Amino acid sequence: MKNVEIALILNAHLPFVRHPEYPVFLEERWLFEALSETYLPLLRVFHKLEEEGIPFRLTMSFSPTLTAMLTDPLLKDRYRRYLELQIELAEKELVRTAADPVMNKVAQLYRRLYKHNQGDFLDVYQGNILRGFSYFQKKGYLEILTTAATHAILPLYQDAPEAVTAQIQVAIESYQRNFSRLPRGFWVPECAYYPGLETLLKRNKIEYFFSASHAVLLGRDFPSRGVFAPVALPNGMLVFPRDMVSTNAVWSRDKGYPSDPVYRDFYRDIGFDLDQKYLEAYTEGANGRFATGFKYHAVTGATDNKLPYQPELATQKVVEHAKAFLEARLRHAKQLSDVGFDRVPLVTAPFNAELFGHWWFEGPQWIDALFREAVNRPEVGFVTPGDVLLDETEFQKTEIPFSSWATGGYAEVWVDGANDWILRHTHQMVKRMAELVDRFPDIQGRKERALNQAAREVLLAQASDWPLILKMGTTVGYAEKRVKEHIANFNRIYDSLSSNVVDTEWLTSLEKRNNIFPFLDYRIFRRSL
Amino acid sequence: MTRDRLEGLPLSALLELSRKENLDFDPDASREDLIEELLDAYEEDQREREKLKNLIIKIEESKFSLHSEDLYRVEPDPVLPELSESYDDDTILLFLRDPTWALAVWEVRRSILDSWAKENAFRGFGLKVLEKEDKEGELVSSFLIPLSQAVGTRYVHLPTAGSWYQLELHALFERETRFLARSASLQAPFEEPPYLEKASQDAKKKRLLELSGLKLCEPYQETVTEEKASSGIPQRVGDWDESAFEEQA
Repeated sequence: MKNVEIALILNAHLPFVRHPEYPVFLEERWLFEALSETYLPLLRVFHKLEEEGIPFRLTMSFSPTLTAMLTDPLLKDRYRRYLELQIELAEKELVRTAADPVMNKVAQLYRRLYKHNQGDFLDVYQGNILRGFSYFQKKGYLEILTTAATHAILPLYQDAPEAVTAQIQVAIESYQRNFSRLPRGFWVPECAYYPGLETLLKRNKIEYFFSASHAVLLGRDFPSRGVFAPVALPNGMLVFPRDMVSTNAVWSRDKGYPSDPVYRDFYRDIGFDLDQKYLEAYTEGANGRFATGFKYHAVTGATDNKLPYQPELATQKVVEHAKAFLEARLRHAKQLSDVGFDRVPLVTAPFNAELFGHWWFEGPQWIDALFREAVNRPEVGFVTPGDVLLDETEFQKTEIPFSSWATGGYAEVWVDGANDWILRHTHQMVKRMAELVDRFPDIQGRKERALNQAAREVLLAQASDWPLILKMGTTVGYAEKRVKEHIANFNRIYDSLSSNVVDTEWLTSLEKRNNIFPFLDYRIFRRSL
Repeated sequence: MTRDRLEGLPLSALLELSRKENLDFDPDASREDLIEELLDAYEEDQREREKLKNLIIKIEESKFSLHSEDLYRVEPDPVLPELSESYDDDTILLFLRDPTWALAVWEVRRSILDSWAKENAFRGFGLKVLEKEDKEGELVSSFLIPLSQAVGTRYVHLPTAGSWYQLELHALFERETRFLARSASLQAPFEEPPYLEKASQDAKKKRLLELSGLKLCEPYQETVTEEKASSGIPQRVGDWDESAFEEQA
């Protein structure tokens, strides 16, 4: 008999960043870093658990923008080059740190990491890591979800159902092409829900999604099982609310596990510490300084005098934190049973996948330790939402309000003075796209290509990442440029179609640059009746 | 961007930054003067940014850290495409921001504006905020916000959380108003549903909400200061606070 069930959800997402027009593009490193520190290490954890017969069960969502990049030949080739450079830098670091055994040990760790990544990426997965995740889904360890095509904040388009439908349907099509099946669940970007979204999800055969805790706690009816069971919306769609208590244990900025003094510090990096001349070959011509991924210090505490990172201490701590997490869930379950909780509590713990490994370097190890520790605690079970759907049929019916899991709990991040100028344009793009579908219901040839590209530009302009970056104030120039370029590209196509002149050369170059969703059919933006 | 960081940059980089900040720099002035001017400009930028945020909504600082652009990367300005300010359309859009604030985005066709502007009785435009019981239900109240521009955005306070809202765009004349466009009807979320007060008197229900982490939820979280946000966990790859790197270095 289980006392508690845990649904661990990792949402893997990056915006579409691909610049064939430049020989090297700094922001493409977002993907390379996530591959190196999160996705490939996670796959290694899964393989090791499988080999050793340790049962594990979790859920992952891959955004269509991410899967598009993970299967793109240009980016694969650039990642191969990135790995070569990282290995070369690791070799150089071994020489530089030779006199310091503590630092040298860390340099060896990085060489192993990048060598492993190179072997796995090129030999095991033949450049396509989705094969690895797909394998674990087929074997029943992993449930893979999709999310909106470009991770748009869907409540901002609730008055344009054709825009929301396009985000959902393109995502499903992309999922089907990558994982050879249909998704059952949908990661609603940033858990941003609005009443009515479930109708469009259900129409597309989605069975469940996740919400912020307060969506259920502040819903229409008192939540009789708190956040420890899914609820059903009036149309039968299931909603799994996030459990803040368990996610805070990992994600709290002050008290989360990653802030432990022995873990590797995220900020201190040789890219800022060492002479620029030494790093020149690895910055590939980019000006200025940036993080290289080679970090030798531990979190230590609130001090600038960081202690050297000692991986063996971090490995011990990871096990302690995995045990602490499971014990805390069991204590919580006991407290729930004391108030008469009538079922095995389900703890839904969603995180952004890149937290594990990229920011919290030891994160993948913690996931590994979690499943290993669970073997000694038969009263703890790991499940996926699909398991819950199989086991249960009765859920509390309620309605939930507009909400998100971001700061403030609603749309404060995306409707802000720093980014609200975007909405006029993206809404006009949707309106004009629907108008183009009406005008050209069955066009072929060059005009069809132009219309399909216009649809791509609409989706790309709707990405939630750019307004988020504008709000945060980091890499603002790039985010602004991206949004403006997609809007301008769309407007140019719209004007070309109005004047009946399509510049083929320009269109071809745009198709090559923004080549996401090659299967896209512009008619997806047909107005809802 | 700190003074130390600026002092460590070559003159060419400082000149590039001054160009980005649109500073009129005297070529005969000293390097120190240029650094002073840049620091003043960054401070001014920051004040502007804060002012903008505070005017719009007085809510908590974001967990997504708020910092100046990563100026350490001295690269040529991207060439930004020029976007038109309007699309020559009669439109009013409504976006919910939180239970009590929404964003209105509107525009009026140029031809209409030009023809009405010639009429003596024309007084401008108005945003009518309609509060309703439900989507298609009875009007509870309404109020008019005069607008000075034919194209613009504005944050609108929603008096009652949980109500439905719709916006109408009108042209205002001396003795009449003329309807131009209507937004979708959207429901503002409840700040606290009515059952919460009752639940607080029932020990079991109260405990269940506590165990569910109600007070940890985003709408109840304490204000996050900028200092705290800068040490926070980045939400995504690339979301880190670059200045923290520099401080550590």
